[in-house]
Amino acid sequence: MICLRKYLFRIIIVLSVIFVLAYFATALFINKKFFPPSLKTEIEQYFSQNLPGKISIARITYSPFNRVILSQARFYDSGGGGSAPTLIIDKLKISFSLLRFLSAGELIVTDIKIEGAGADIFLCAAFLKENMGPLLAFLAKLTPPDDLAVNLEKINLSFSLPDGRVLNASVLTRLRIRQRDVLVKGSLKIPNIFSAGSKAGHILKFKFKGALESNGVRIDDLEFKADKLFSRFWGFYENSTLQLNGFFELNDFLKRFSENKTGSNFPAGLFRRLGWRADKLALPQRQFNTDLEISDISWRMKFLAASLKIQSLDFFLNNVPIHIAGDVFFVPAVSMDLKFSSYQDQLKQARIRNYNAFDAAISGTLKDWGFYGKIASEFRRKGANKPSAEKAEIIFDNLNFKPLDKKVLEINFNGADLSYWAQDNFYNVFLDNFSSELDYGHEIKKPLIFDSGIYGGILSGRGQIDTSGLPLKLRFDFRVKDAEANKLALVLEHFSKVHGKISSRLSYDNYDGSILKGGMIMRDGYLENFEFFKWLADFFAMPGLSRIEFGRLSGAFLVDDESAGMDIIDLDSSQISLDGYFRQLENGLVESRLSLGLSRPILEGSPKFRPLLSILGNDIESLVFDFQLSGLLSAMNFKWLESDFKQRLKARIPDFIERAIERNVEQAIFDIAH
Amino acid sequence: MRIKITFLIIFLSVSLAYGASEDKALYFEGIKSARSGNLDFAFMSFHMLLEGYPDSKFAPDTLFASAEYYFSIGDYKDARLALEKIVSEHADSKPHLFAFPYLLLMAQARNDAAAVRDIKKQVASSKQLVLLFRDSKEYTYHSALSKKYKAVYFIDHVDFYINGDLFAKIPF
Repeated sequence: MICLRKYLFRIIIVLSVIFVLAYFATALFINKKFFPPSLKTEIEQYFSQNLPGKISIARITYSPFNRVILSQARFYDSGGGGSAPTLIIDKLKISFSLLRFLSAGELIVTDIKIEGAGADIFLCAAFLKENMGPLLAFLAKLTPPDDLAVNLEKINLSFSLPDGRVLNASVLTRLRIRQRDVLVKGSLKIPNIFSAGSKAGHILKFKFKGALESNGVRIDDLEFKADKLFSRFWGFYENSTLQLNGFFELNDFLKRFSENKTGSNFPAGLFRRLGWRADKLALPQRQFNTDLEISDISWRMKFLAASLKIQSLDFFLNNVPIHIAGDVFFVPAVSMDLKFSSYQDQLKQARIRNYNAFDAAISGTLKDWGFYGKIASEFRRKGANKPSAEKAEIIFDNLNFKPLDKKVLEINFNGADLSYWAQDNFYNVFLDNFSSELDYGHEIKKPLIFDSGIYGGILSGRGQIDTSGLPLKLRFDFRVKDAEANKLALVLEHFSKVHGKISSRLSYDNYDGSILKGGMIMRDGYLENFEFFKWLADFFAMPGLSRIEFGRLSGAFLVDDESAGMDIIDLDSSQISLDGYFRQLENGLVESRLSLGLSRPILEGSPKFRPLLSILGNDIESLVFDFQLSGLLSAMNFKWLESDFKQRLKARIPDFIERAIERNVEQAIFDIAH
Repeated sequence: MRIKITFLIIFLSVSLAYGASEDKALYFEGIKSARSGNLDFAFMSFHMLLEGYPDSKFAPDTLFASAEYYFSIGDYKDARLALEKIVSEHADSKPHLFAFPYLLLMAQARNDAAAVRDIKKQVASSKQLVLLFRDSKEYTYHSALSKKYKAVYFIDHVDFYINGDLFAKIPF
């Protein structure tokens, strides 16, 4: 028994040695016969002749019994092999059908495994775009894709951020082609852009199920899943046109859902679309305070030689129907011309009454991560009296976004020309060297700080954007320091007559209607042909009022849906003094009480006031007029309020003279107004 | 002097008898009926005047009198139509200003906030005031239905009176 076991052991040893020798002999034989060193050169030459780019392979080896390994395959773009490779593959393992190889000498690829690869995502995309056709043709020559598996492991995709940091994403994918059916499953680990050095990140799982058709690809199921994201699409790709339908959800519902073990693995949004009730399925009750839900997506786009034409992209964004169409161009630089609209299919009359309806457009170019172009939007706002058709437009010079640590996004631009049309009014302001930081890590209220140049001065402030619903709720507090007041004429028309440096503190919020309020102060400036003083100058023949130099002009203002005006005006000048308030209501009417003091030199310059001074006596240094204004801005009512001066004057002139003066003034005002 | 006055009276009587047009006759007939308390007959005269002579110089007063009549019998729809016609077509007429308190009351009764705002704006802008030594300015009107109207304009509101009673107060 012991001898038998000994012989058996020896036989096994001998057979093993024979097997190993046969294995290596076969490997050496096949390597020598079918994969000589010249094959590597032939493949490289084939690619040189057939591809715009180049390829270099360090080594090709045969691994019995049905596998060929290409080591260190490097792909270069058409710039040549001198530059850094755009794609490096450590090991490309190609398995083939041994039976077909031995019987017919055909190399039919059954499995491709890529182990360890690295590429810059943008360079790689450019390389694939340039070489995709020849590569597919080469692959098709090698393998009729009737049963092919492709595995991607340890693939690193890197991309550079605007601040120079390089982020790496890793990919794990398995592709299976059987007959015409294609199945792709995989995951992509996306790094956290706010901590590029750390290993933290998000896992995006994806799945593709479809079939190769004669002139395209049928897409049965294209899914993306992540922590708070779920999306699903279906459609087809045919004659360069991609049609996708589906939905997209980005919220914490999936997380809450996964904690509830009684439900199914489908998202509630899908159930809702299928008409099933969540309570019947023991699903948690749907909460509609989600951040983002895009449903009923219908997306049709055409891939052209150097552009992408979005024929239509329709979807519901948190139950608001959105339509997008336009073009994205890739040559000579990435540029776009896109139009957006909501409630596009609504009847015109109904859409006019719908305050959620808007039209928007983005056109511009991307250069070095910066956007140069125009963003415009037209919408209707609910005014106090009637709907107001309004339009906003921003022309950006190098708008760019830079992620910082701790979920803070830096938003900068070199210049922005902001215009706003509301009814018949036009407002415009230009900001330069704007920089801001948006802390969007907060759940609902996202704090924002910013500073910018504004007409030679500085604009700085802070605020928050409340994303709990649409429209977004905004609240900002900001300061303007030493801006050139005259250049703010397109913000407030009256500034066209004001010269000097202005500093201001303002606050804005749109929680219950829009309210802009604050205070302003100007020092050492002048008013030139200011309407009210010009009127006084013309009427009382006081040329000194055409230009009023002041040491200090201050005011508090309030602009809301019902009125706009200065609540406190305080003007201190050697020629005049003015304080009071002036409000223009939304219906065009005026409310004002002002106290105007005129100095003796100004009064003496007026032939109409000189007689008054002689009546009142030579000890008068100045006269103060308190008056109230009302009515239309273009034809204001005027009341001279009671004062010592008025009492003294009344005491000195008879009643019939008073009436005559009043008639004359009334006629003169009427003449000036008309 | 006495001869001259007698001659003038005779001349005026002859003019009234032979030269007076029919619209004028209808107008004064309506006034006469109104003064004697026959408002229905007065309205009929005014209605005939407006039907036959829409461009008559008496049209604004007649329209206003018709509106007063409609308002008094609760026919607010026709009252409003007549008053709006005065506002839009007879802006320079005397009754124009006094159409607003009626229109305001009817707009308030309908809860038509936009119309109320619009009427207040029109009242505020209908006169341009200069109040140097006085606190207010008065405008009066004697309607064809024998009602005495008075509007007292202050710097920030107007008080409307009918026969001495406050009828409406419109702030602006």
